[in-house]
Amino acid sequence: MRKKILIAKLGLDGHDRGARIVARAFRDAGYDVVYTGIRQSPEMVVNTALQEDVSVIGISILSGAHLVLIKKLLELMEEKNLKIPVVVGGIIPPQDIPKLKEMGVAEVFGSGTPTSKIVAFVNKILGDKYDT
Amino acid sequence: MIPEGFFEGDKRTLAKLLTMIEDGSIDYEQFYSEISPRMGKAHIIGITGAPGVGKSSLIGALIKEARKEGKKVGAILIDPTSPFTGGSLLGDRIRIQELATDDAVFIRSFASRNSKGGLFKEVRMAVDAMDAFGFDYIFVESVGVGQAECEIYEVAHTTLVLISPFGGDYVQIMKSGIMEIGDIFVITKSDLGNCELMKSFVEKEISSKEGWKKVICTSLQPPKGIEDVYLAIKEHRDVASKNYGIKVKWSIISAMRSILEDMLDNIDEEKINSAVREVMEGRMSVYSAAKKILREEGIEYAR
Repeated sequence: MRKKILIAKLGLDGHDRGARIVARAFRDAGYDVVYTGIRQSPEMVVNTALQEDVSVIGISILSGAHLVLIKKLLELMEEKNLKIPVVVGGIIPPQDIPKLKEMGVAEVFGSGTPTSKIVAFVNKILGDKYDT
Repeated sequence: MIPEGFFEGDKRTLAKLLTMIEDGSIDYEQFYSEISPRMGKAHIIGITGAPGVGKSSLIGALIKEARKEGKKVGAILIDPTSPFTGGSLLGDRIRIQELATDDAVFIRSFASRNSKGGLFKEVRMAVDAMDAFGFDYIFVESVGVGQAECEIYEVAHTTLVLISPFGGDYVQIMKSGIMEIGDIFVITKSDLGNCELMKSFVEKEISSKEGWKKVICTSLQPPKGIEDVYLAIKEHRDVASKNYGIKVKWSIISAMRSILEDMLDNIDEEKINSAVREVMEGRMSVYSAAKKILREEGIEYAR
């Protein structure tokens, strides 16, 4: 299985400590982690994922704009025929989690989630469905 | 083997091809037979220097210069692989992410894997794939290096060595290794001061060497010297094509070395262990044990 993950901060909030903690966890789990940094548009994320040929996208978002931005991201991915799982983390109100999953997000991890749980989940979905 | 759409400029197919190259799941001969008619157009620019000296940021600024002229640009950015976990943090893009939505720019990060020369093993193939794809410029950024990693010189037509204005005194500049491979020396972060002194050290050093060389001070905030670097790169192109033969020669030697290293990694452990016993029990010398194993692997070389 190809262990290459994109970690991106989608939208305009500038708080990237969470994204960096998750990036470190994947790095230490043997992944190649492409880190885009903050203030990424959906277009930037999709283009980066295509050029880097990552096997999964991890989005960190704390601004409250998750429903709008994730929808746009998933639409663009659909448009460009990019079929890889998207995992979301950050400050997501519980009532929005089912909505994000309905849109096609593989899983949502709120603050306080142990990084080992996130890594285990991604290992599992890559192993299960996206083994190359 | 070359994905459909590659020669029509579909960037997704380039990304997939680069993955195949990275994984080593590609047939060399078939690869080159399909792409070589399209190769040889791009100007390959290598960027090297210490961690944090400003390699990625300079690449970003140079890509913008090239875009002003409507050139198509590819970039290969390399960061180190952990020797402990095998993982990597590929963080070079963060400096140039604003270019992610430019259709004429393609940026790809690679981990260095077990390569020791500051690049990754199949970097030449990756560069050749990008060349055949039709970029005018291809930037190759090495991992942050120390003093000895010179591999980039073999791959690039033009090599930029970046030096921080506080990168040491004139003795550091006199040392062998990466100070010898630069065509253009760029003193970065000149806004921090000390740039002219560092420039004078480098100028003194290169004045004792033959050939085309330049030293330029730059800063990005505020922007200074970037156009000069871009012009110098263009000027160097003609010089570079004359010297490229020797680089290819070195590359072939490097490739042979890496193939042999691969072969050594794959020798049956039991064969080596039994040689250890022979040596420990005094029946063989280390050197003759090594030769015996190589002979069994089909390598006949006695000196």
